[in-house]
Amino acid sequence: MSSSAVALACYAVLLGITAAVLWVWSPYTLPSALLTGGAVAIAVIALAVAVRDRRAEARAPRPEAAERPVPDYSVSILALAYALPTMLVGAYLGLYLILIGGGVLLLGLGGLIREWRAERRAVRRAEENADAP
Amino acid sequence: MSTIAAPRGGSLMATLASTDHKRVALRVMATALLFFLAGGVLALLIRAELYSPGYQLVGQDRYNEIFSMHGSTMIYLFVVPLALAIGAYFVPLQVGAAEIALPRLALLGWWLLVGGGITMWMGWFTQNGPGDTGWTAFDPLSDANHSPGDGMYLWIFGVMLATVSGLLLATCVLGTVVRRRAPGMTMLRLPVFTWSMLVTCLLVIVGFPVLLVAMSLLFVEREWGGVFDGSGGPINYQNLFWFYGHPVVYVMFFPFVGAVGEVIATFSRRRFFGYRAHVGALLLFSALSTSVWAHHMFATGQVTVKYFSLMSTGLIIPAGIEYLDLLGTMWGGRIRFGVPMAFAVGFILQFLIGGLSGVYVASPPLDYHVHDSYFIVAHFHYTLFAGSLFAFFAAFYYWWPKVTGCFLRTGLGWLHFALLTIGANLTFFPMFFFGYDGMPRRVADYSSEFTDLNRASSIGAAFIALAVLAWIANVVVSVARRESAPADPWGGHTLEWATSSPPPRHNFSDPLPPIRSFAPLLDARQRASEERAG
Repeated sequence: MSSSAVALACYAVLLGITAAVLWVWSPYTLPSALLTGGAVAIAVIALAVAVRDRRAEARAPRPEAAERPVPDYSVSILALAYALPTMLVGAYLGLYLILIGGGVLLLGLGGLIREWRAERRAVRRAEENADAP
Repeated sequence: MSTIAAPRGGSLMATLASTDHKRVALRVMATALLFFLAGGVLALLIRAELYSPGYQLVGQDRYNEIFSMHGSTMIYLFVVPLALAIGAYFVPLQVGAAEIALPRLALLGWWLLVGGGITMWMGWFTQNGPGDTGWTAFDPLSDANHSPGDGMYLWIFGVMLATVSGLLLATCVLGTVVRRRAPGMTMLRLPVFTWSMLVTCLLVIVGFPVLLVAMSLLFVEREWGGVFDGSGGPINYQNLFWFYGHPVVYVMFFPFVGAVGEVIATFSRRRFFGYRAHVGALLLFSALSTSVWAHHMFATGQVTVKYFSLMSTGLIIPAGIEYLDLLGTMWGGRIRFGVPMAFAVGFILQFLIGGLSGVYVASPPLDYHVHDSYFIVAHFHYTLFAGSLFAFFAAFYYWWPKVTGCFLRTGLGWLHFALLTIGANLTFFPMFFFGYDGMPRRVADYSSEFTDLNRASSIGAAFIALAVLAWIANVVVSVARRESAPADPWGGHTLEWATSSPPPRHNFSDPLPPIRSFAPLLDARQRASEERAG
């Protein structure tokens, strides 16, 4: 288990202990359930980190593992940043805002897919350049 | 680190859509500080109204809106985003990463904060005014019958957007710690500040989604009703709210105590004392702080008092270890008493007052006496204002040369410190007395027996305003007439001082020094001096 997963697991265990004490002492369900839910959420994250770290260890490191292609700007995120509040406020102010926000959200998601594809191409190029004699 | 070609129109895009974690973090900080100024103006209005008994400036309804928006702005839009933004800037640098994890999410986090803040403040332009039910919006006070109008809806949406913003920023910072550490940077070599941010992010991930649930249910309750009906309904809302509402106090505390740890170690020219105990204390502290929320609900009579009182009192154990470590770091050090160190020491002393009054209200009988009084206002302002804000200013003066490449003015810094110390204590210390004597919070009018202490408190608020002006003047003067700062002006211990000031796009131009402890630059300096001596 990786050290970061251990740290997360420690926190989950501590939360679990306090939750267990609360289950014993408290006649109310909601507080105990909330605390238990928090412990479980962190435990799941710890497990996911452990699994991912184990897979990363098993994989042969890429020639340029430190390189990570990231766009300097992301216009798609601007679209999402407009769409999400618009749709949320639309829940009260009217369907038209949800529809406008939904349209912009689709545009933003499309842009994100385009960015991810460009990233993958950049990774492939970097790997091909590294393999070249 | 390669990048995908940037689109044209760089400067506008760089302002609006940059994925560089440093730019994003600076924008979050700037946004949060704007809301700090806005919330500060509301605080001055509150203190002006309370200068004398009776109604001077505003009536009770307007007063409800002002204190509600003051609290909401300071917590949802200022301290929490600020704390997470400091992490988003410095954690990648401290762990030796070229980039934050999930940089687009960080960018989205900033924009949702902007959207949340605008949405919440748009309430001022609605017919019934903004949300006026405190920062807690307890049901049934906040339902459609008792708080009608669009402003309350906008408040709910604003809180939701700001909460999602915090979640996204915390996810990025946590992902950076977990996935992007430089070779050699094991978990037990993470700097103190990074550990503080790690536990902060864990608190955010546990607590913030519950607030989203609470706000969603409040929206449904206002629209259709039936959610918080029955005898247990309001208590359920309070449980959901405080499950977020107490841990968020530590979200507003841990990053700043971590920053103070860095300042004290650097300015004491000594390795941080008791590192492993500190890490353990942080984990215990965060677990306990997630488990004490219902001490806010002692007066409801529907909580497990012995459990929440025990856990709340138990917080003094990790807090004591942290204090011991901070003082132990200074003990025997060659202390350089600059402005950052002054604010750090100010934090230690003043947070102690906030912390000890917290132990006091962790006792149910004493809490029953001071519940919803100004004693509570004094307690949490000593933790959040006299505590966290002083720690923020310690961090601000410490890291400003790294972020901008220039120094702040020392004279104005001392003036800022002096005015803020006088202002904070003059404003908040009298509140312990008139609160204990029975003055309730959230009232625009009060009995004349509390006049003198309220006047002292209002005069203190004016000192705080002057202190903020001195701070702004310092920033303006320092930027207008730059005094260039080197890469490591203080003799720092951690990796952010190993790069240029300000850092380049991908943080480090030169290879990182060997990482063999949580203070790699101190190690390098010690090795160099040993080689010179030997």
